[in-house]
Amino acid sequence: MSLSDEADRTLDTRAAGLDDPYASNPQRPATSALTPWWRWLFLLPGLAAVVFGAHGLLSNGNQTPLRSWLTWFVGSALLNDLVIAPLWIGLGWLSALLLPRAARGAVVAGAAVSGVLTLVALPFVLGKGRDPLNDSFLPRDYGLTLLFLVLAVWVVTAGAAVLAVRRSRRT
Amino acid sequence: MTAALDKLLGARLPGPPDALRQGPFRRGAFPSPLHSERRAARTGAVLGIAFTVCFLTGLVSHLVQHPPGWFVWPASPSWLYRVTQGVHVATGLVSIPLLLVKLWTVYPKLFEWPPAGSPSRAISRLSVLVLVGASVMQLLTGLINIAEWYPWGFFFTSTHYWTGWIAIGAVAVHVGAKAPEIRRGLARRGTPGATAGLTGEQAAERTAVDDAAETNGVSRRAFVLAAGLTVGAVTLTTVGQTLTPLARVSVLGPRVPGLGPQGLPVRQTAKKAGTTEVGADYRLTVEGPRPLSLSLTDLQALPQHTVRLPITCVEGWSSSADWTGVRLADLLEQAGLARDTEVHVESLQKGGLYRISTVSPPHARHPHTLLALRLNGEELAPDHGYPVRLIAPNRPGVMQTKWVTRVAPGAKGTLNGA
Repeated sequence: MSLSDEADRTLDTRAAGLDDPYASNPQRPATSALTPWWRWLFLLPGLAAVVFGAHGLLSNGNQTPLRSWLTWFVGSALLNDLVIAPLWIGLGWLSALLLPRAARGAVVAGAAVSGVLTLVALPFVLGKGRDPLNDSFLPRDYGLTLLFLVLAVWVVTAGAAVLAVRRSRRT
Repeated sequence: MTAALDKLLGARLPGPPDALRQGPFRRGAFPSPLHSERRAARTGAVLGIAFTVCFLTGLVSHLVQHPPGWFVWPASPSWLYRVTQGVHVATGLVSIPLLLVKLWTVYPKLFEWPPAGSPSRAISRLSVLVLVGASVMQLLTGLINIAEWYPWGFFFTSTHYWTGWIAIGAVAVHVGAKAPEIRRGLARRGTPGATAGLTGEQAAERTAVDDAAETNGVSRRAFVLAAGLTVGAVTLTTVGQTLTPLARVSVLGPRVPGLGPQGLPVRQTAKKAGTTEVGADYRLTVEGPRPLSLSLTDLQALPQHTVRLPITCVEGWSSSADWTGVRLADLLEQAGLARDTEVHVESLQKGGLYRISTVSPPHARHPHTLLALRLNGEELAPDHGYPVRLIAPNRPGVMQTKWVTRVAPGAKGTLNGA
C-alpha cells in the first residue's frame, strides 16, 4: 500500500482509531490530534508566521497587487501539478516500457540531472534580463553551455546504463 | 467540546460518484513504492532544513537593509554577509530539485479519492495548496529574479519577503499536521517507532512498501542517488558565482567573480543611473559642524588607504577587489562629527530605490570603510561609481552607494516599506 492507496484512509475504518488523528470516531475524540506534543511547537508558530506574512502582503500597498501575486501563487502550484509532474511521470511510464529494468536507475538519474539543470538555466538561456550595456551580467552563451552539459550528462548516463545492464546479465 | 469538534471536522462529506474515479484517481494509479510515507518524510526533512536556512539567511538580508531599532549588524567579519547571502541563493537553488522530488513523492495525494472526504480533509488540502503555492512561487520567482527578469506586477523584494513568511509558516504547519507520519517516516526501519500508531495489518503494509522500494526497477538507492546528484549538479554549476575557487566550474552562474570592468562585475551601469557626465564641477559635500566641500583633487590629496573587500550582491554573487580611497571616519572627523556618527550617503543618480544608503555606527567608524576613488589600482570606471563610491565591510552591494556626492548625519528617511 503506497501513498496512492493510502489516500482513501478517511474511508478506511481501521484508520479511524489509530492512523488518522483527524478521523471521525465518537469513541476517540479530537484530543488525539494533540499528540505528539511537539506538533504544537510547529503548528502555532507556523500559523502565526502565515498570518504575519499574509498581513504583510495585504498591507504592502501597490508594491504587491493581489491579482498578480495570486496569479504567481496559484500558477506556481499548477506549473508543478499540471506540467512538470505529469511530464516526469509520462517519461517514467515510457522508460518502464522501453528500457531494460537494470538501466532504469541510471536513466532516471540522468534525466533528473539534465532536467533540473535545464530548468535552472532556462531564465539565463532566455536572457530576458540581459543588458547590452553590461557585459558582466550573463557573460556566457548559456544555451550552448547547457547543451554541452546535457550531452555530457547523457554520455555518462548511457555508460552507466550499459554497465548496469551487462552486470545484471552476468549474474 | 472536542468530541463535538471532532464530529464536525470528521463528518463524512458526500463524495462524487465512483464512476468518475478515472485516470489518476484510480486505485493503484501510481504503482511505484517510492510514493511512500518514508520517502516523503525523509525528502521533506532535507527540504525543511534547506527552507529553514534559506528563510533565516533571507531574514538576515532583510534586517540588514531595513534594520529595526533593536537590530545591529556588525562591520566585521567583512565576509559574513557574503556567506549568508551566498548561502541564501545557493539553498534556494538546491531547493528547486528537492521540492520537485518531494512533490513527485506525494503526487498521488493530489488525486485522493474522494477529493475531500471530510471537512478536516478539505482544510488540510487547502493548507497544502498554501504550502505548495508559496514554496514553488518563492523558488520560481527567486530564480527568475537572479536572471534580472521581472515578468510580474509586484515589487519583488517586499513580495518575496512577505511570501517567505507564508512559506516558512506553511512548512511549520505542515510539519505539525503530519507529525505522526513524520515520526514514523524518520524512524529507522524495523524499529517500533517506524510503525507507531499503526495496527499490525497497516504496519505490515508499510513494511511491504518499503521492502518493495529496495528491489524496485528504480530502487530507493537510485532515487536517493538521483536526488543527491541533482542537488550536486545545481550547486556545482552555479555556486562559483560567489565561491570564487569554483568560478570556472560554475558554467551556469549568471556572474563570474573577477569578470567585468576593472575585474569586477557590475549590477547598475552608469548609463542607466544617468551618471556618465561627471565634470570638473563635481564636489563631495560632507554636512556637519564644519561642512566640507571637496573636489576630486581635494579628495586625492587626503591620506589614502587600500583595503581588499568584496562586493556582495543580494542576487547571490560576490567578488573581491582592492579599493583605494579616503576613510569615511576621517572625513566625518574633519567635518566636526564623531567618527561613529550614523550618516547617509547620497548618489548623483536621480532616481532609484538605492540612491541613498545609511551607514550605521559600526560601519561608519570601521577603518576599512572608504569613500573609494580607485579600484584594483585604477581610477574607478563609471560603472563602478566614478568619481567616488562607498565601500564598507559586510554590507549588501545595494548599500555600497556609487557616484557619491553627499554625506550627511542621520539615517535616510524611510522611503517606503521595502
